[in-house]
Amino acid sequence: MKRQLDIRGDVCPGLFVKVRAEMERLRKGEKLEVILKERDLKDVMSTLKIEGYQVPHVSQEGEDYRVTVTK
Amino acid sequence: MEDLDYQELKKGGMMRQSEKGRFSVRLHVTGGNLTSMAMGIIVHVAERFGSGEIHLTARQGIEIPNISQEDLRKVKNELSSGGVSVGVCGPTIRTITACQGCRICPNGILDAPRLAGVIDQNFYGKPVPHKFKIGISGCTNNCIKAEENDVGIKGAVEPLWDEEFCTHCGICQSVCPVKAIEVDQEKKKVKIRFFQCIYCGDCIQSCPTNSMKEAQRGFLLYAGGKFGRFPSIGKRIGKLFSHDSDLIKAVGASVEFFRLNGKPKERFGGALERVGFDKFEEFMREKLEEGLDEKAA
Repeated sequence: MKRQLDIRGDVCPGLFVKVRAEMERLRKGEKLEVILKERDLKDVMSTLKIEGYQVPHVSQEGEDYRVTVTK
Repeated sequence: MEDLDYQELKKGGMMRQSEKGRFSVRLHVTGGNLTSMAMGIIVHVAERFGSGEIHLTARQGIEIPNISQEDLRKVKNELSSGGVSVGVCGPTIRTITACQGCRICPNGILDAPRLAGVIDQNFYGKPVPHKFKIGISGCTNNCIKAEENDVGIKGAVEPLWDEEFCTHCGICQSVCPVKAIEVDQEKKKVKIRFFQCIYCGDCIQSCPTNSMKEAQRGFLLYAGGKFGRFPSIGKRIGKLFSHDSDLIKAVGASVEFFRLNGKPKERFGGALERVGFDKFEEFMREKLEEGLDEKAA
């Protein structure tokens, strides 16, 4: 089952702390789906890239984004 | 007044205070960075010759107030023993300000303090018709407020779409702050409207497949900004300059144009308004091309 993390109600820097903590719990090859608001897209995407995670899938639903992250 | 003190005062950096016979000593700070050793000697001087007070100025400078006139020379010597020199005032090129830049800040595109150092070595304290302020923002978030400087620099990056691994997810379009990117999911095409692009690089930083690449990294130059009684916002001159080769030339061309065309008590922006921004742009182009010819030769 894919793990999910909803950070739509969070603001900087709390949302990064949550994403990082969740990613650290993930085992290699496991997937995490992050649900976020469009306003946080740039900061979350650039953080994931800097930390070396892969983002194989992205989908948009109105103002929300679902980003799949793998370790 | 002693002759020697007068000579020291004429060199600048000793700011007369409201209280007679007391001075606030302005220090030479570059790009907002100081070493701990410099900080130590500043603290020592403030305690020994001043009142223990140290003032942070509006443009990343430091002044030590409440120095008696008779101590000015001693203060200068003491400071220089710790590698700190006295700053400038009057019609000169002033403190070069900078943000933390890309070595520290994740948003950074340029190493702003390093470039501030390079500009400082070439231009700091040099005479010009009126005070001339230079500031460097490492990216287009522009923390240093480039447009309020006579010459302001912003780190910038030009994107390039590489279609090979692009999944047309639309993130670049969503994160673009000026809506300059259009993703056509059906035709599997991405269009960048460069006349709108502000070269911030958000699309490059956010792309999950690294399909938005860096075509070119460099800087944008803004000329003629100031604050004070009658603020005006600097205007962008030219497009994207390549920072390694062009920075010194572009700043040099600005200073030279001001020396040729400026009047005393008139800031760079005033001279540009009077003579014409187009004339300056032409001058800048010629100066940068001169360099190209030299490279080709």
